[in-house]
Amino acid sequence: MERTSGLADFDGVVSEYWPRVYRFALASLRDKSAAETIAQDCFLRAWKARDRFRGESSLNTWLMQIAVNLIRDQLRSRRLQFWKRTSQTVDAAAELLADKRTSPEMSASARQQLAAVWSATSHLPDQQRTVFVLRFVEDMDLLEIAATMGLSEGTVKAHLFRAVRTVRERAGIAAAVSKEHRSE
Amino acid sequence: MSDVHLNSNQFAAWMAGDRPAEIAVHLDGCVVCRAEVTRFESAVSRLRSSLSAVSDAQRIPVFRPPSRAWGLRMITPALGWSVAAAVAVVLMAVPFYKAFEPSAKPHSIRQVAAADVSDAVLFEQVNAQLSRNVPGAMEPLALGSATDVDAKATTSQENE
Repeated sequence: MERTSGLADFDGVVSEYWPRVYRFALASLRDKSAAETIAQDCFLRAWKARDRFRGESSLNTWLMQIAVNLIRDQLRSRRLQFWKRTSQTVDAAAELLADKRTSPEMSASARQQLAAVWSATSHLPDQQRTVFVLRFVEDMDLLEIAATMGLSEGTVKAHLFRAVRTVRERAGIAAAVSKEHRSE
Repeated sequence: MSDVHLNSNQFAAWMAGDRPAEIAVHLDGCVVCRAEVTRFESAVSRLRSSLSAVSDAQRIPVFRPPSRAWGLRMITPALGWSVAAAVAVVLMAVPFYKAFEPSAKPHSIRQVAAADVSDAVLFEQVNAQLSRNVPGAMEPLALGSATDVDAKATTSQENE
């Protein structure tokens, strides 16, 4: 039933899920223009494949599945254009941190922490980053992530475990906590 | 407060969703580790809210179902690679074609042969010029004197 009720109003689907797909693409690709293209392509593909959506997974999982595949293809083609990737990555990070709308009340240290986490996620391998973003940015549980990425729950957990360990170490969260407690 | 804190693997396992009772007990009693978990959670939550602010500020485009028009979207990666391969094959074939072009060699041989013939004719003309008894300008005189000599010889024979 979700099939008919979910996709009958496609404009409604776009307006509800666009920000989510765009946010996921932005976190994965770190480039606003590429994220917009991915979001457009995602809904275009969803439109073309709407007859094949059986409602076995949620609409969110199905759209994220399409987005994951598009992002994976984009990252593959980007590896052939490493000079482009470097410049765009820097630009996107600078834009995100400079944007006052993101959090006007954010303190300098909080901004620094955000920058550190943002930078740490950029060093993750593609699959680890996707799992990390789906878990902590998209707030999806491990089973949903497994369905989205076509992996087992155990594999997702292993990717997440490695991603958290890397981000914690690279972002200096452990060091900062110990320092705070030493100074108390 | 405990002296032994969560190590990197225990922390990562906890954040990845593993919730063993001993770690839960440790977190209840350890301020340092609890602070670390809180700090990590607030850092990723900040990342989420920052990205959400950027994505929410984006204008949601009006979706128009695609028409069946030819455009850049029709150029699939497979088609692109096929065209690139065809161009590469043609470019690689150009030197071979130039080397084995069927009309190239006979044509040049014909040209060379024609040039040889004209050279031989010219050589013969030059040779004929050089083989003359007298220069070209003096030929009429030479012809005249030869006629006189012949006439004198005829007259003397007649007189005898």
